[in-house]
Order: sequence, then structure tokens, then C-alpha cells
Amino acid sequence: MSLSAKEFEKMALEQTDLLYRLARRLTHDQLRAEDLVQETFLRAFKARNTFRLEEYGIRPWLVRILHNLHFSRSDREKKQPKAFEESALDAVSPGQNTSPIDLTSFDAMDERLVHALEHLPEEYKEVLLLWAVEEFSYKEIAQSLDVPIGTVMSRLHRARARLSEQLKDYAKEEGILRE
Amino acid sequence: MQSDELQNFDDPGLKKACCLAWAKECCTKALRDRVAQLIAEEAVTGPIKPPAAFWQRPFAGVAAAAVVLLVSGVAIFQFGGPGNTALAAIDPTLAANLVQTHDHCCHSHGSHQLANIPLDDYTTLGQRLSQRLHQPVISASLPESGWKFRGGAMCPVGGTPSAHLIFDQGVASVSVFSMPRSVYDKNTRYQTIVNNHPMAGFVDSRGAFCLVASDNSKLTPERLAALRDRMQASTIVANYEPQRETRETVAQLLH
Repeated sequence: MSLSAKEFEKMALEQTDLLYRLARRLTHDQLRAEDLVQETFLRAFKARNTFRLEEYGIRPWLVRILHNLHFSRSDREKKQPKAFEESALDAVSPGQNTSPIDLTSFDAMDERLVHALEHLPEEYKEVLLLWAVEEFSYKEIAQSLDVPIGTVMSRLHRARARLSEQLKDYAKEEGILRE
Repeated sequence: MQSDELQNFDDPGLKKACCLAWAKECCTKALRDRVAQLIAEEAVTGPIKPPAAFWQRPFAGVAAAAVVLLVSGVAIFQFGGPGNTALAAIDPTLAANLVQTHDHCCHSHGSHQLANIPLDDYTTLGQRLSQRLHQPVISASLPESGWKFRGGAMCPVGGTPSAHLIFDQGVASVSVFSMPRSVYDKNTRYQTIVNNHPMAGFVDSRGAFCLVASDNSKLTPERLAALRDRMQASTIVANYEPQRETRETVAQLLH
């Protein structure tokens, strides 16, 4: 079923928050996230004639555009020559990520849980967000990210294990978990 | 791996942690405006055209006839049944409970406003309701002229505490409900008529929200859906015991 431009626009714009949340997880930066969301909408709108309203609607289609756009940009950036300081930052381990986290959206949240989640690898965060917050099915996630369903499952399990590991100290401090 | 096994996997602790951290994050109004503007500009220049026009392709006539038949079939299926205007699923028990609470509260003549909150202070009302419900609630005026706000309070919907706002116009009333996400197990948007009451709502990661109009109102499900769409942006989130919430979530995640 093909949609009119107006119908397509309405359906697509309803997903702005979803795309923004995903872009934030992938880019770690508000401006880059906003840029990615805009570019995603632009590409989606240009290609709207190729979109077909199938079983899962527009969400996996938009997520796939954003995902591909982000990773093709990242690949391009990796091929660019880097200044010394930037290369040195690559040596920082994932647990030492120094990028600031905007806590204004997390009023009801302890900073450490946010940090633990934000320090997971992009691939894990992507799957976690789509599964837990956006309530995608495994099949929708697999379709969106172009990976087998088994990979979706294993990323969820690994994300959980990594998160538990990172939260152990916090749990001990708070008396949630005994030594 | 069997598909049944895939469906059965559940991890409430992990899900809750992700929702606590990320679900409230929304894009800025500025970004929303920029995207809308970009799309409007793109609409003027037009999309990239597909390689060949439909009518230039072989068997186009047959395909067109098939499409007409399909569309007719869908139209008959969607709108053929008497009084069936539902566009998406809503649990019938939940729908019946919403109508029951709407009728009960609207026919009661006592106050429906939380104590010590002025009727025109939707922000304070929203914060108080959100604190009690531990989730976002809709708290705003009904975006259509002629409706007078009667008040907002916590009311049970089928035994589940819910935030309930009532608006009156003559003898007709509209209820705006904000309920926990747990009342319905999947995200949905719907508009329908239940026991002669027009109803329009949505369920997303923040909760379940529904507008119900009286059987004597002149509102159609479509008009109610338009009001729902305009009110959707009016959710209010209050802070509530963050440390306890985090502790519980981490405990759930680690055990």
C-alpha cells in the first residue's frame, strides 16, 4: 500500500522522538544526533515512493535508514586522517568515556545507572532501546538493523551481562548486593 | 531457536532500567520544527521519481484492477460492520472499564478536583497526579472551545489507579485518562465507539492514555482522535523518589 505525501509525512513525524533517542545513543552528542535525525527524515522523504506499508509499519524502515546513515558516516570518518589528540582519545577504554551526558531528561534517574547504560557499545544500546523502550519485536529489530534474530538475542544477553557487571559496585555501595 | 522461545524471553529489570534512563527523552521543539520545515521544502521539490511510471509498466491494467478490488475489500471489511469504527485494537475489558469510570464520575455531583489546586493550574495538577501515579499524565485544557474543566483526580479504572480529568459542555462530558502502561500489553493508537461512547487513545512506553466522550455528546471518534493528537504533547512528568526507583531497578536487574 503506498501513501500520499501528507499521510507519509504524518506517519514519519510521529517517530521523531524514537529516532532522536536512537540517534543520541549512537552519536553521544546532541548536535550530531539532531543532524542525523534531520538527514534521516530527508532521505526517507526523498525515498518515500519506495516505502510500502507492510506488516510492521514505518518504524523499522526509518530506523534502518538512520542506522545505515550513522554507520556509513562513522566508516567515512574512520578513514579520514586524524589529528594526534583525537587518535589518542581512541586509546581510552569504553568505561572511561568522558563525553558529558545531558541529565535534564533524566530527572527521575540516578546518574550512575544512566552512565552504565550509556557506556555500553553502540550495537548493544541500539538493540536495548528498540526492545525495551520502543517495544519492537525481535523480528522488527532484526529487520531494522539487518541482522539475524539470533544476533538480536545475543546482543540483549551480552548487554545485560555487561550492565550487571558495571552496576555491581553501585549495588555494593547501596547495600543492594552483599560482598 | 524456535519462534516461541523468542517470544517468551522477558527481563523486566533490564527493561525498566532502559525505560528509566531513556524513555522520557524527547527531541526539542526546535528540531521538530526544523524537520517539519525540511519535509515541507522537500514536498515542494517533490520526491525522486521511480524509474518507470506505473501505467508504462506491463500488466498495469491487471494490477490496477487488483488494487481496486483489494481497496474495496479492505473498505468493506473496515467500515462495513454496523457501528464498528475501531481502527486499532483495544482490550474490550479495559474499554468497558473506562466507560464505567467515565459514567460514574461524570454523573457524580461532588468535586472532582484534587484538594488545594486551583482549577486553572494544569501544571500543578499534572505534577501531583504524576507523583501519585509514578508516570507521565496528560494535564491540559481540552483544545476545543466550549468545554469547561470540572477537575482532575485519581480514579480507579477496573481497580487500577488512574489520573482522570473531566470536561463538561452542557450535559455532555469528556474524560481524559492517564493509566499505567501495564493496563495494556502493546503500543497502539485507536478510535472507536464502546457502549455508544466515542473513545480515542494511545498506548506507548510512557503509559496508556484515553479520551472518552459521553453518549450524548456530539463528538465523533474522529474528532476525539484529533483532540487526542493535540493533547498528546501535553504530558506532564513529575519527579518522584528517584533513588528508591533506581535501587529497586538495579536490585531487579542483579537478582
